[in-house]
Parts: sequence; C-alpha cells; structure tokens
Amino acid sequence: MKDVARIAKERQQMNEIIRAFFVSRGYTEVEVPVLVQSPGMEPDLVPFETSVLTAAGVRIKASLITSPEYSMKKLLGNGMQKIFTITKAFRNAEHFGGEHNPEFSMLEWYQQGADYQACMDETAELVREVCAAFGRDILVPEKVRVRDLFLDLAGIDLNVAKKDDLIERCREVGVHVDEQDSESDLFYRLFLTQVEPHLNKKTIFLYDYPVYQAALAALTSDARFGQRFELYVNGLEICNGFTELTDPAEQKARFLEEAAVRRLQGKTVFPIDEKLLELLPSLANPTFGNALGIDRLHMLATGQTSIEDVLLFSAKELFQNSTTPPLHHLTT
Amino acid sequence: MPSPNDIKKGTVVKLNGELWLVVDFQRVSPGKGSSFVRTRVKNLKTGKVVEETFKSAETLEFEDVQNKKMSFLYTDGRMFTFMDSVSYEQITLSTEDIGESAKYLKEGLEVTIVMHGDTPLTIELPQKITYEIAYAEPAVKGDTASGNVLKDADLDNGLKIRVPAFINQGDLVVVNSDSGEYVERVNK
Repeated sequence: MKDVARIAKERQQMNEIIRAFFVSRGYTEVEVPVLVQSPGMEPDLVPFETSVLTAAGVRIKASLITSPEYSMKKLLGNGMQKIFTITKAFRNAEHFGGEHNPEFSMLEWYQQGADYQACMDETAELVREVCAAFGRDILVPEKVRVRDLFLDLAGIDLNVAKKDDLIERCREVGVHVDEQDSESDLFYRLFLTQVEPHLNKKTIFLYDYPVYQAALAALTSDARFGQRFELYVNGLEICNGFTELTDPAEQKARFLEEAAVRRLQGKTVFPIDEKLLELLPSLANPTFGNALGIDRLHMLATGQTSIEDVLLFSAKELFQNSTTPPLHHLTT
Repeated sequence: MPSPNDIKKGTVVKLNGELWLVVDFQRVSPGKGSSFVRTRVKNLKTGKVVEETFKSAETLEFEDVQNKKMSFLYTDGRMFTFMDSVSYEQITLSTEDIGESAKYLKEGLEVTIVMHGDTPLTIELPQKITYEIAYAEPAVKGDTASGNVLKDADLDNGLKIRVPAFINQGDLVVVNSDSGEYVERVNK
C-alpha cells in the first residue's frame, strides 16, 4: 500500500543528480556485469549462486556480484582514471527489511591518483547535494579516527590494544565474548555496544580502521591502520570506502586466506579472479574507491526509516508473506 | 544447539550462569566481518537492561520458557493485567516487561505470555491483530489516482496508523504487529 509513483519519481531524481554530479567531475559511467564467476571471496558474504548453461549444454558455475568492485578495478587497470557505476548487487543469507534487502542498488566510484581523504570530501558533497534536492540539510560530516572514538567511548586505545586487551575490555563493560572470537569480532562487539549507540544523532566519517577490519585498504603511514572510512548519518551506515590496496602479491595472499576460511566453514570457494590480479599493478598509488548504498541514501534523503519504503518491490513483499513467521538466517 | 539466529523477543539466553531475557533485537551484517545480532537484554534477577551482541556463528544456551495463552484485561497505565479465560487465573506485567507491544493491546486480545516457571516474563503478540477504525480522515478527492494514497486513522484502542484512502470509520482492519502497518480490510 505504498505510493509507488512517488518512490519511482524520487529514485529517478536521485539517480539523475548522482549522474550529473559525477559527469561534471569528469567521471565516466560504466556498466559492469552482475553475473560473474568470481563474485568475491569475503568469508562472511554469501553470494547467490547459479550457473551459465551454454548452447552446447555445458554448465559453468556462476554467481551474482556482492559488489561491482572486481570489474571496476579491472577497468582502472585498463587505464580508466575516474569511473562510477550504478548497479544492482546481491547478498544472500541476510535478513530482510530495516536497512537490508538481498538485492540492492549500489553506487561505486573510483579515482586514480587520489586517496580516501579526497574521497570523503567528495562523498560529503554528493550526499549533501542529494539531500538538499529533497529539502534536507545534512551537516558537513565531521571526520573522526576510529582510534579516537574508541578511546573516548569504549575506553580502549587501539594503537596498542592486543586481542587480550579487547577481551578484557569486553569483560569490563559487561559484554560477553565467545571463545572463537577473532580480533575483528571483539572489535565489533565493542563497536556495536559502546560506540554505535552514540552515532545516532551524528553525521560523521569514521576513518582509519584496525587492519583486521580493513584488509583491502592501503595502510596508514604508521602501518597501524587501514585507510578505510565509513559515513554514518543518524546511525545509518551510508558507504564504505578505501584507499585501495594495489599490491597483487598481498591481494593474492588475502584471497587465498579467505578461500581457506570459506573451505573450513564449508562454504563455496570461488575461483580467484586472476585477471584482476594481473591488472592490479597498473593502478596508481593512491587510488580511492567507495561503495554507497543508493537505497539507504534514498531513505536518508526522504526521511524514511525502512528500506521497504524506498523500494518499489522489496524482498519482504516478494518472498515473505506477512502470515508466515520471519525467516531464520541460513546457517552457513 | 540454538544459534543467535534463533533469537527473538522473549528468548531467554543463559550467559555466565545468569538468565537474560531478550527485550529487543536487530540483525546486523556489516559487510566486513561476521554478522551479529545486537540485542537489549534484561537480567531476570536484577532487572538490569544492557546492550549485548551475539555473533551468528557462536553457540548459545537458551533457557526453556513456557508459553501460556491469556487475554488482556485492563491496564492502569503502568501495570497490565491478563487472564486465563479457562481457569480465570490472572497475572500482571509492567510497562518495562511489555515494551513496544503495549500499544497493540486491546481488551480481550489473546496473547502469549512467556513464563519462566511461575514467573511471567513478557508477552508475544499475534502477528496479525484486527481493530475497528474509530476515526479516519475523509478521503481527499482526486488523491486516489495512483491508488496508493495513505491517510491517518485512529484504531479502537487509540493506536494511530496509516491506512489506504478507501478505509472508513467503523471498518475492521488487520494490522501487522511487527511493523505496525495496515495489512487488509476485513469483510464484515
């Protein structure tokens, strides 16, 4: 029972603003495949798997992308300097509704020769311009190091904190830990309970994440953190950007490590995208990349709090009849 | 073994020998790193409410709770009284125990009381609840062109929701108690 005409119009207007924004800055819009052989190796993402059937009846395993990142980086490796795409991306085994939909619209853009600081500034301009077009003033986001935020709110210094310190701090603030927790898990427990609740009313870039939370980012000069950032507006995470890692050896090691984790967890292990590794050394240092959730930007710009209200057809409506109980996560 | 993915409101989790009732929960998938269920849990002994997180992959121990069907009788604004319609046994829960569910209650509504032994913990609402429209704004002419126009309405228990333009005072409507949204009109 939603106003589909209004939602469609808003989305059209938003996409037009985004396109004009990037074209005026010298970016080229590119279309990248959503159906690929190597959808991404992150152990915690579950791609939609399918297969390509050739006319001769040969079946080739394929998946839908969880992000357009690999194709975008290949285009950079082929010499394109400033590119953006507006595409669908897919993530399986995530819950429906609220801030998530298994099929979602993503804006990704990359620029060679510029780093994540420049990307944050550009992101702020884009988000403010889109929101202003819908009559919403968004403050210029403050930039805060993750380390400073954790020092203030979680009472722990990530410059020196080791895994045991994270465990200790969780205990002190009364957050339980699991034996199997990685450093990244412990970090996230503190983030969710101590830090994120304070972001509810803020417009803020968090940047410089611990290396275990920023595996594909270039390192900071002291090598303690990865050059990764996220924009939070009123507690809603809008985007995730990096100064990209361009070292193919490091990238391959990371892929192999992730493949091993996937194998261990009984998940599908996808082929490593060798073409990407081949092209990676051609990328300039620095190169930034940012992935921004268009549905979430739509929510922000129009003051909606649930993703169904900005989608003409949400997964909740398509797959989850209101008379059936909520679906459980797949145990993967 | 139960998993954090089975957590819902009313689940009782055993942590470090203590029992915690899940008051509210939200799944978060950060994209980088494991997915988590963030919760607000209430200590059943001390009543303290804290934020907790559960990683999807971790194993958890749930405490067995019992479900009992009871009807809502009345509230004095702070305490809510329910009755077993067979045995006439009554139990009372506070606003804190019930949380957001309070606004969906209306006289006679059958709910599930989550019991731990003899102690009532909280309630679970039916997912679909039928209400009568106490007041609805008249439809504005010309507004119906797109067929998706919503307007404000008051339900017979005082709850305000958004309903389609064709709904009138006195209609019976079904509301989803998870989302607070209008589902359909009931034919009388």
